[in-house]
Amino acid sequence: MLKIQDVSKTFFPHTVNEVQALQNIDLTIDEGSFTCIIGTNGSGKSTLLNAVAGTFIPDSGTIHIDGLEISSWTEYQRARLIGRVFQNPFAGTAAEMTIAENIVLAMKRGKMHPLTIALNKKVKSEISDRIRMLKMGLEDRLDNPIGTLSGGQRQALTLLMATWLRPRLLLLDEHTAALDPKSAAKIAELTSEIIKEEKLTALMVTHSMQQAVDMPDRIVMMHRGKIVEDYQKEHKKRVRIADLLDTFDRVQKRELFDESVAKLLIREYI
Amino acid sequence: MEIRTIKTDKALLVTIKERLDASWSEYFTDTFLEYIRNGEHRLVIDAQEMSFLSSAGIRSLLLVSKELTKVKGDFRIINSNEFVANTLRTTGFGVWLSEAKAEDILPATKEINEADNLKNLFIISKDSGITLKLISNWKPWENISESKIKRVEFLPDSFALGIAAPPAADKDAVLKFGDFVSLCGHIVYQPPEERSRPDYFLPMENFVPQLQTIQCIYAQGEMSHLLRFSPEENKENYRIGELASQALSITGSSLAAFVILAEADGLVGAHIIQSPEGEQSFTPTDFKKLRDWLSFSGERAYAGEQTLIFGVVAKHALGGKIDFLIPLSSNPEIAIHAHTTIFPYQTLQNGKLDLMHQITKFFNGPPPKGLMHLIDDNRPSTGLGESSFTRGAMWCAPAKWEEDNV
Ligand SMILES: Nc1ncnc2c1ncn2[C@@H]1O[C@H](COP(=O)(O)OP(=O)(O)OP(=O)(O)O)[C@@H](O)[C@H]1O
Ligand SMILES: [Mg+2]
Repeated sequence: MLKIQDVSKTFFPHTVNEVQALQNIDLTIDEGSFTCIIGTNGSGKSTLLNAVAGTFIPDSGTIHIDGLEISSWTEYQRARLIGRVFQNPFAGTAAEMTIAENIVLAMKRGKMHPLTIALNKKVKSEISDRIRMLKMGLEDRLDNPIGTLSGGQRQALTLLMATWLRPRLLLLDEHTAALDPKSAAKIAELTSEIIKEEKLTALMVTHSMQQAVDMPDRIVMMHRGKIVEDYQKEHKKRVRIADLLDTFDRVQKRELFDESVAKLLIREYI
Repeated sequence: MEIRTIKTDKALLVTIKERLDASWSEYFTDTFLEYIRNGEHRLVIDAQEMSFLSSAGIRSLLLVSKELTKVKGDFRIINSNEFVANTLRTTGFGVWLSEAKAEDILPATKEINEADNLKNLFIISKDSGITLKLISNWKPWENISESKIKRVEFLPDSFALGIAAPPAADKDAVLKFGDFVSLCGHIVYQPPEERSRPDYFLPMENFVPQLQTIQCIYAQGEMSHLLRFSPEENKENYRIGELASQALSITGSSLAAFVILAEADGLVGAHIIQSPEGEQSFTPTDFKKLRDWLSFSGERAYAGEQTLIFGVVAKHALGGKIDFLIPLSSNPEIAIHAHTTIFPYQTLQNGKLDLMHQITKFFNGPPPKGLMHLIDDNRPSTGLGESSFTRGAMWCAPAKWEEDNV
């Protein structure tokens, strides 16, 4: 469904600040699958999602969605296929607009010639039906400005908006990280529910090992712009938090394995 | 709650003030388990000022008492007020109550009293010794020809270390060679995939574990001495080199075999993560390639866990089979080869320990967490140093090489 082939991205090339944020990434995501991306800070997780969403054009490589080569599409063009939720609950919504108005915006997203959608009774009742499933009592507050909601409520709405049009692909970038633990758990639960119910294909970046173990059906681990581990099927099912931590450990150990270690082991290991 | 301790030569006297209830029970348990870990196996609680004892508190006392039973320790409550005494009696734990006074805390039995007086060194069997055989002698990263592979049975009176693969069901199957250690016929083997935890093989009634070895030092016989060590003033830990030297001097030999069962202070080592094959295309010149073959601990690992080591040590001047023993850089007088496996921590009983009993106990508990070939990391400035231990036991015996091998 999503096919990332040999994608690389270097920021500030040929300078002292050069960062190889993505190095020859190959990743194929199946229709209807839910994948978590984990990895240390700066390992390239967000950059990978940005490459898919079209925030920038990679230096090399191709990206296909449903067999369509979208590598040269603009971010706006891709928004038709892709729903996104970011870490910051204030990112995806307009604070001074009401809940209902924000949702109407979401209903028009990615459409070249959006039909004017009137906020009539019928539309409003459709909106409140879907908001009811959030079980946050927001269906009675459709005319309140979004700015009056808590971070958790706002992130729930953002999630609902991002999936309103059933995108071909849902990208979530640490969308529970800025919330208090209780709200984070609630949003995580809601995320799993929506993905399952709408049969969405999803890529989610998280720092929570617990979420990575509990939520998806595949875990991809990144380190320094590369995919260093890919747990699928039975391997994913048996994985526990301790295993993920072990893997992090191993990846970091490998990094410490420099020339001096090599010399030591050549001398001392027999 | 408030906890205060007084250490006497007979026991650790612990005064508990105020409530031992659900909100304090966890803290209480942790504190007491730490005492036990530190070798305090005779605990006396002064309960005069304990104002309340709930079921959660009793549960904690029970946990502590069980832990002490495991190490043949002793647990008593003295000076208890009416309330505490009644609570314990009515719940069936009256046996913990003792009439003793704080002033005259006495050891529970004569036997323990004797154990107390024993020195740290125990002679198990003065005339015992170990015969060493170098059964297979592959060195990284030579080719592995058919003749390099030797099938070995690990008998109950044997110890071994090296590189080997479990026998495959199908004779054409590719053998996966990784590091192993074997103690009294109990094998721990590290499969050469990075992800894998160590695997292990236990002897059963009619089953003697076997491996296909390519490098194997095989020791057979009985240990002659047991040394117990624990932190002392000005000495917080024991380096492997120190213990190995001790093994040589205790046994009065220039070649010795040793088994160490101890709480790790930090282990430094490496293990194979890619099985060597028949035709080696690899020579370890490029470190970027070497790290696909060996994993290095990279830190002083497994602190606080229980490490179980088999090793061989020789005075460096010995020569001969010394090429499978590596001179210790911190003490080039001696050369060592040692493999360790790591188990989750369990408290060891004080005093004389039976090696076979300990090995069966650990192998029948939670599975081993790791395995490595210990390395003395002497890199200038960045070196992690030698593996070291906080407290534990070392069994050792004089050893000699058997002539006809390989
Ligand atoms: N727009 C940009 N300009 C310059 N450098 C960037 C840009 N975006 C990312 N980087 C750099 O690329 C590397 C990868 O960053 P990225 O944000 O993808 O990491 P991440 O895995 O999402 O980390 P985190 O867990 O901290 O969110 C980092 O070193 C980062 O500084
Ligand atoms: Mg990020």
